[in-house]
Amino acid sequence: MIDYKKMLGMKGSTFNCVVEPGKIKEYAAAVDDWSDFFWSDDPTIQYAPPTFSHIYRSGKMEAMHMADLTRFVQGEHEIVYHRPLHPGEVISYHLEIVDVVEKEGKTFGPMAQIVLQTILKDSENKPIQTIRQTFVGRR
Amino acid sequence: MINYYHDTYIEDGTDPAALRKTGYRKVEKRTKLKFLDVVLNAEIPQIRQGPLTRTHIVKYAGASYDFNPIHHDQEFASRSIAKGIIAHGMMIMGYLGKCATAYLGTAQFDKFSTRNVTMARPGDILILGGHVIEKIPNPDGTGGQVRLSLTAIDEATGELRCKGEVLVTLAQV
Repeated sequence: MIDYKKMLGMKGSTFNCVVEPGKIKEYAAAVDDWSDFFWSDDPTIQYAPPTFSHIYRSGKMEAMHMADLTRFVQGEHEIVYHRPLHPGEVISYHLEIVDVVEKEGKTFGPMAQIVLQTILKDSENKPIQTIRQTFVGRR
Repeated sequence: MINYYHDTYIEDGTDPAALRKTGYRKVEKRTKLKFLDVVLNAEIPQIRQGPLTRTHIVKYAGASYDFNPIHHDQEFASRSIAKGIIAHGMMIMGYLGKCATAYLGTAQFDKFSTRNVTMARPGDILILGGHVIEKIPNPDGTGGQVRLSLTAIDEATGELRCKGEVLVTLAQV
């Protein structure tokens, strides 16, 4: 049995990335969205799709390295937007496991609900988005 | 400059009906909705999305850098909690975002949340839709916030795959 309680307070390392205009288009294509503001070549017009910020978070698995991926799924996802995300920006991710709740599931037995919070900041350290993700893992 | 995107074959080996011809997709012009034009309880135009294929899922994996093998490796997925290949939860959230964006004419939301209820699998045809559930006018008459509820329902079984909410600020006129 995995003791998910040990994950509480774990952090992923903070890292920077650049929002690439081509990646915005690739992502828009993957969600089949052809809205002009995702496909513009003008960086003042183009901005990222609502769920785009999710893609650069390679630090996610670092914070959750204890999880058994064969028994782990995502439940809820909540994003609070402070401002739009434009191409060319240098952004940083700040990840932390902020809550772990153990439960007895009806179908799958002992479960744990893990809440991962990510604050996405710009180069001036101002928040762009606050993301809360809830995962469900079988213990 | 007009953008075109070459949409490669989106096919699924097990289902000839899912085969689609190669083609070019054209960018769609959006106009931001006005607060005045939003009617409480109004239905958002539905989008029929699918059938989902492994190719769609792999395309999303590549675009999102999410290479959890539960989304593409049949052997791994079979012994996982999902008992088979499933779509990324974020892909379905992305589809719901697209549904809201097409209606609102903007993707600049204030808040967006979803909950995955059942797992989406290759072969699913998702009916994306929703309603306007709240209008919060600014006291000074400059517009306000609108809250939408969204759902992704599997057409064949009627099962709810994912539900969510979007909060957005719109100008009055």
